[in-house]
Amino acid sequence: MLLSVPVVVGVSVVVFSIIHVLPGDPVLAILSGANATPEQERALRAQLRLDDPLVVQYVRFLGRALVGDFGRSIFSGRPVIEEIGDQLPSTLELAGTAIVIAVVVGVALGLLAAVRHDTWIDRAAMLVALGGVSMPSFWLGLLLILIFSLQLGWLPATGQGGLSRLILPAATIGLNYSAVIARLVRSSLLDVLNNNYISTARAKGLSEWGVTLKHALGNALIPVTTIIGVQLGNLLAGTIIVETVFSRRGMGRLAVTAVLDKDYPLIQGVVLVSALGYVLTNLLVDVSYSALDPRIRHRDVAEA
Amino acid sequence: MTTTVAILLLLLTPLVAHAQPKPGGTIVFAARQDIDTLDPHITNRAATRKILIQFTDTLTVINPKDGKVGPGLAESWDVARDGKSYTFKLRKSVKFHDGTVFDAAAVKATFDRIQEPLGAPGVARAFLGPYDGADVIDAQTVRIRFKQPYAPFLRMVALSPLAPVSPTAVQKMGQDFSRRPVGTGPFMVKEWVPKSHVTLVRNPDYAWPPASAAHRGPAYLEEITWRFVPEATTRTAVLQTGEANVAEDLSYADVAALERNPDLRILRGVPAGTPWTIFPNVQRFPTNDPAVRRALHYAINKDAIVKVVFHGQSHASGSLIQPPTPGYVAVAKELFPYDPGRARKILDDAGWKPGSDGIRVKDGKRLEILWIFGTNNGYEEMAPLVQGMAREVGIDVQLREQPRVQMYEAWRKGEHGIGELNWWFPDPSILATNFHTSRLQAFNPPRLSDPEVDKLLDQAGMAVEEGPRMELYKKAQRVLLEMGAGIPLVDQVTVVGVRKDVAGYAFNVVTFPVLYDVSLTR
Repeated sequence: MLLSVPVVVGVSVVVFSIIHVLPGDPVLAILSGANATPEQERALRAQLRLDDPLVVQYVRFLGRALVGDFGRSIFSGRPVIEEIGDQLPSTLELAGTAIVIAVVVGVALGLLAAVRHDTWIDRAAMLVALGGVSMPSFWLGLLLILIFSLQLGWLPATGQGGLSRLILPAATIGLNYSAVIARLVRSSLLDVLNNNYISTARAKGLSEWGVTLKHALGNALIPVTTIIGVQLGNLLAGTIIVETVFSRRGMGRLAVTAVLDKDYPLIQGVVLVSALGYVLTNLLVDVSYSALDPRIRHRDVAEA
Repeated sequence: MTTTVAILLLLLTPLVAHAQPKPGGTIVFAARQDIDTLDPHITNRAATRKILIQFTDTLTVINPKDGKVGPGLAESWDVARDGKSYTFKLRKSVKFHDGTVFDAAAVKATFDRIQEPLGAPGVARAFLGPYDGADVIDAQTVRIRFKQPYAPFLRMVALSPLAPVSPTAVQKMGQDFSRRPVGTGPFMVKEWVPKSHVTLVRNPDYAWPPASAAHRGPAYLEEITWRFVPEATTRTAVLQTGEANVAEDLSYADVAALERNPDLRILRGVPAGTPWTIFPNVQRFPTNDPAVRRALHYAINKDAIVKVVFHGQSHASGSLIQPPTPGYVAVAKELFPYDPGRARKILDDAGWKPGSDGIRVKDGKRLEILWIFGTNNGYEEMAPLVQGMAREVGIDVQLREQPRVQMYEAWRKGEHGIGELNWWFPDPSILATNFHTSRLQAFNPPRLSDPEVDKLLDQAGMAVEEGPRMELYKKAQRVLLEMGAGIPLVDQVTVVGVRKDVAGYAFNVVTFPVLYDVSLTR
């Protein structure tokens, strides 16, 4: 857990260096394609303060970042933290809902496949999982819009606000991610089900389902938690494709437009916040290990 | 007899009443591109300008039907003989949305503000040209001065980035002005939720529409929700489900199916500006050879591109500018019809002999041209077609994709064999942006630096009389086409879908939406 701090500092150095490492003059890159006058070029240079020594610029950047001041977006003039604040809630609710769908569907499929493994149910479940992983989110999203918005008229196709607008985009992501979880749950469960304590449980007279749910599932989910953590980290950085297809606000679209516009303060803010998101979810995963696996919990206590 | 007439008139009255649009209602407009700002003086995006049109007015207005300049917020004007100053007489009783009176001081404050460095540069600065200052003669009269004659100004000042904004609001709101600017238009900005939508509400005091509008007084619609829907297929979907009343920039492939839908109407417009055009680099081998440039033009089957890429929704270009642009003359069709045989002959005569792989060779060098095309610039589907057509006559066009910023960099270094560019613009002076020596730093994809062309364009830029000015531009089009500095392919066409209860949708001269006359017929 202590490693999180150097990770964040490392990311901040990388993020800070973006402007200086990329080839070409950053000011000219921002102004390219526009008929800028020399005064405008000078003004932009002064605004970005690129003439100070690098260390000074970095310290200034870090100091401000610690209080949430990432400067102002070059194009909108608003504080970067406000721009991010506008887009983050939409990403959070989409990420949260998508993960819930992914876990529910993935665990259910994996469970089914493991308990009935080597039967047609197993193969069918894994086929569904294969489909989920192979379908491009772009295509799946548009397909869901076609069926549920256009043909059936059950759900709106775009926007945010309310559960009805959240379902289709979350399902698009969730179905993709559930496939990975399903395969992992299945193999993890099959490993666990071969252990000695499981044979003991069976000997005690528990049904197969009872064995699986009471004893095996908890242990099987430990490696799965890592995957869920990575997926959640991914989603917090925004999902540009789903946001574009469903016209939702979010960190993905913010990041992409910031990069295309070469809006450096905004890029720095977005990358740093996304990195923070990863670090936080990893911390969460670490904490959940202790909760799920008593061996780790007791080992930590014993060492302390 | 009189009784019959009276009865007939009485019976006809309800019909007339029905024809009168009803005020009220909200519409959702599904827009393609997200906006970077709402500030007219900072923006360089068409997406922002489309919204600006709804909540601002301009000093002059270009009539979309005949392309002529007419009064807007300025009732009349005088142009000095030397073309270096314009004196406008402004309309009385016009107010900004915050109650500030619109007058000469507001116009001066607006143009002075454009001169200030505001961070990212917008097109307003370029549109204002060699601005030298403005003088307030009296409350209704303002004189705009220029460092040198600026003939296009009357058309430029009809564009929304030069629309007057409330000086009081600029002072009071500071940075926030870019989020909720204050103009004089038929709608007002209520809020902008970034990446989601802009909400516009009716201006109840509006009473100064241009002459080309269909009614006087406030707009019919109460509210407009301008939603950003970047995915073309989704725009088509929300138009069909009714989530949006209007969807712009529909995918050409979807149009045929949408036309069969009885709930929708498809509207098409050809904007003033330049068509989808490719530019051979006249300074680099082998496109520095005029024979190669001319042969390439003869080799391209523009009708095939219309069919395959545009699904028949457009037509082959007639010149280096598009029809609604004043000064347009359709010379390309007579100068360069599709004729691959002629292309081959030109190349043969110039000493380019076909090699073993079909590609021509001269002095040991292959006829190879590099087309650096920009990501998402619109030419992605046309490029392979052009490549195939060029191969038929023995030209090897290599394709390389670059993000747009790198593409501009490559132009500056002259690394490209073919460049691409197209504009929406209400004036033929856009030809200078594509072909004048002074634009080599920013645009000028063919890297042209021809004294005759420069002289023609300079003279046209300073000619104050409309007639002689257009003659100069017509000559420029011929000269540029004959030297092969630009190869126009297909005209830009705007396709918009509206639900059938939406009446009064109009295009302006560059086919941006004008929602002032829109009403809901239900």
